[in-house]
Amino acid sequence: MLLKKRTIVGLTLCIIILTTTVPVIVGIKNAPVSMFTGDDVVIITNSAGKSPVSADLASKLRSLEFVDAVSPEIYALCVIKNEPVFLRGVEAEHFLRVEGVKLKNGDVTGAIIGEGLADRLNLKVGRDITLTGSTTSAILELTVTGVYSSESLTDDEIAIPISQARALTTIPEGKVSAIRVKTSDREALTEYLEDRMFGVSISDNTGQTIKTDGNKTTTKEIGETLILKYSKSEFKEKELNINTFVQKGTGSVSLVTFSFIVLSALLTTIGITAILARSVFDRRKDIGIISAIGASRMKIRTILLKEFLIIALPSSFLGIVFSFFFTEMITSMNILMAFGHSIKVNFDLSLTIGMFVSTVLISCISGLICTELILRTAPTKSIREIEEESDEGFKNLTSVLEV
Amino acid sequence: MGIRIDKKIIATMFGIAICVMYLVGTIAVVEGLGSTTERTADMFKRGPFLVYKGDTISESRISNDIVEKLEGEFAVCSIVKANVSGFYARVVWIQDTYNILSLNISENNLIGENLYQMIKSSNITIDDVLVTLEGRYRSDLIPNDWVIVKREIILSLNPEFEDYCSFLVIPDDNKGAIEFLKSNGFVVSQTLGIVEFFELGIYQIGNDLWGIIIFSALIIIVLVYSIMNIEIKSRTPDIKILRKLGGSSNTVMTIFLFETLFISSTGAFLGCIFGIIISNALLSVSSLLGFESFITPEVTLYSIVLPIAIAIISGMIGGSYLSFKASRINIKEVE
Repeated sequence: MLLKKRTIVGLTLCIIILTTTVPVIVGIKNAPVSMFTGDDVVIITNSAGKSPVSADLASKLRSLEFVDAVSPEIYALCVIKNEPVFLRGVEAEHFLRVEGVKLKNGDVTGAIIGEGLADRLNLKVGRDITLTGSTTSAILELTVTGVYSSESLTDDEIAIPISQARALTTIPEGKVSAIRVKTSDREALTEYLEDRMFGVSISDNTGQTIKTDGNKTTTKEIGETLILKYSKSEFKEKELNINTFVQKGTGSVSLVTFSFIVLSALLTTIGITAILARSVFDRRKDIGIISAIGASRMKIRTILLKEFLIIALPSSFLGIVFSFFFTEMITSMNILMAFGHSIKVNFDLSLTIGMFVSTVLISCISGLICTELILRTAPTKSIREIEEESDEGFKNLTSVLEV
Repeated sequence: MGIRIDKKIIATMFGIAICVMYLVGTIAVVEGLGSTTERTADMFKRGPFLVYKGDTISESRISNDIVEKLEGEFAVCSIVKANVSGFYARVVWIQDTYNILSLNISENNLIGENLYQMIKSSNITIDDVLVTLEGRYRSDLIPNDWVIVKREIILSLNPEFEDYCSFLVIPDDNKGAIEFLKSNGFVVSQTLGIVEFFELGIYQIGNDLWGIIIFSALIIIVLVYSIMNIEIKSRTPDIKILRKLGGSSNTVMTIFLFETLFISSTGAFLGCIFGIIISNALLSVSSLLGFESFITPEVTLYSIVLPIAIAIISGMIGGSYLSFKASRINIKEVE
């Protein structure tokens, strides 16, 4: 008796706002972790103090049988054509091995560039790029000598020879920002590093960081940690630290995205409640009649709960399906960017089920709350209220006609 | 003419208010993110600025007319790519009266330390022309694999540099020159890029969030339209009665348009207030929620006018269409 096309349409629209906002926000928040790690790739940094990690560790790790590839890397944050670009100083062959990709064209003698970035900045093999420093003032001009295509976020990055990247940062000789390791046995790697007391941290794509001194921590933002350690920019007036800017900047982004989720959830919840309340209140005469002829409150609640489910299930399903296709479309167009990387909006199973269950729950709970309000009214009053409202209609007309 | 405020109308206003609250709140938060980032980023030294035209410093050409108009301190550089004793390297002429590049050079032929380690000779050829080096340089600002040459050598490599240069290096306190060049379409790049990277990265996220806001605004247009549609639909019997009592189509239409406008605008106004309150409330409790942040929500005229306009326009469309239809019915059809 509640099922109306407009109710499902209204509910679906409210749900679409939430089911589109949440995956995009999750994609933005996941970007930093995805830049450095992967399913079988971990990142090793120095756990103590601000010093970078020793580059010698890379050659030691390469000799281990459970290590597939090792890439020592220096990170630089640059701007090209007014766009933020994440730059890696690498040993190109090792970098490509860790990424599991090959060059599409060209060679590794100069700068190699991800295909996504090449398309966006209109760069190809043979073209020059002008770079400026990251954590130290510098000017550099390089020639693009190769293009690679990667499924990961490195598709939006540039990789240059490690010696040239060093000139853009304050990383000294013999040191690197981090070492990325592709390994089939993460536990063995951790054990190896712990046994030899290298004093490093190992981070994976779950955001988990293990320090080889035995402590486990959860790393919120791996990229932020790396940049916090290695920057020395100077400041004009206040004792403001670049670390503070980075930390508070990323914190601000987290807060804004959290605000979006809260506001979307609020709009969706109140919208669903309002729509279902309207449907329930429009039917209060019927509810009053059923109650008057002897149906128990539990019986009425059961009937209405079934109605709510019949409305909520297809609405949630339609909302999620629409959001899925919409986000797939915008992901394929590379419209969404964060710190120079295209955001991959990922509708993973847990997120999809979570959104489906929560929207159905919100619908059912809102509907039941509205039902309780109706059930508190005596059945005869519910029936009489409808007639009184008709009178109110005439009163409204009277007030409208008053001049 | 009076409007009787009953529960249904209050509920309609509240529905519109919630939609507007979402838009005002999200816009205020995103605007706050952008402007606070810009203000905070301006507090940092950015190193000297690199200025050029086009895509790269090698392809760039800056006319001497432009350079003559600049005031304050700056360095002028001209650069070409050349074959330097079998190595492909960049050859540059630098005029740096104020020692901005910290090279302490006069008109000498100097080779970068890294390139010298490869060539290991004081006599080099640049595109088959013999050049005697007068020393080596080591710099943190420019690469150490360039060759710095005298003016006559750079002119022999590219005579265009009689009237042009390739790029300028300007200290960050020479704001006049920087603004002048920016306004004339030159690429002005900070040589210390980390702050600009984060600033632009945050702007990118701001743009993504604007995408969410615009998408949500389209949904909200439909929602507000539906809300008003339902409200006016419930009043259709009243419209028919008014017509039967002798009210003209236009009079009836005007009455209900006014009512629609009142409901939409009141709801929009309430929504603005809710949006401002909730955005400030969320950011105020941010430290309790574990967020380290420097932003404050920024309620601009734009962030209020746009949601109000959306609510009123979509509400008016939602209400007026049905009012128009109902007011135009033939009296004889009204039972």
